[in-house]
Amino acid sequence: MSCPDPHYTGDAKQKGIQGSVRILITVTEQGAVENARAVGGVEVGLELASLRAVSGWHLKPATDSDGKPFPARVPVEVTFRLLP
Amino acid sequence: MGAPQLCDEFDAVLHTNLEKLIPDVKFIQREEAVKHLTDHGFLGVDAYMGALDDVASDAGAEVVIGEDFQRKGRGCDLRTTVTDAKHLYALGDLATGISCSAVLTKTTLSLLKDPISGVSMIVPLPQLLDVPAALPLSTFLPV
Repeated sequence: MSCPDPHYTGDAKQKGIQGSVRILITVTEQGAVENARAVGGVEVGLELASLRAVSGWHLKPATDSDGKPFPARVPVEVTFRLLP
Repeated sequence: MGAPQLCDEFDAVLHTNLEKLIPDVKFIQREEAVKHLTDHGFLGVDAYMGALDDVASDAGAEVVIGEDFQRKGRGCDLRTTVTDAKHLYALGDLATGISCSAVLTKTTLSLLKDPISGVSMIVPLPQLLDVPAALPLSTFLPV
């Protein structure tokens, strides 16, 4: 599994914007992320940064009772927090 | 009555009451809602994960009404959320507790498959052994 963090955009950092971006992703049988879509993001720049990062993730695919992988749709929440 | 039937009845009661309160109310049908989702790059199953809020305004809707049925403690909760489609803020959040089985039930994982993309959503489904045969209709009147 590989899940690199998204970059905190300079604009959002400067404006002190914090919050969460909710993203719906499809994890393919191979564990790749496809068709990532944001729902109700906190700010456009952070939304795009999250989509970019999540699209490069590699995850363990969902498997059925026989251990056979199948494509699954899952929600992911990316939270941005600024350290004081 | 199982959870799907309960939700269908809940939906029917909600429609009836909204039609009484707002005579010219219009509902977007399931197929149309799915089309709006796919037009925006979502999958049909994304409707269960909040995506309708994002496309409702473009679909001409003024409000999005969400319904949820969950086990809570030793009872069950029927929850209705009303969201302003244009500004995406909650207009109302109504919940009613109903008595349902206190007998231990297990939660099973089911797959909800999107017929167009073939992608599945994993849904935890509590197995309810005993839920009321009818809904408390008055609960929905404040909508």
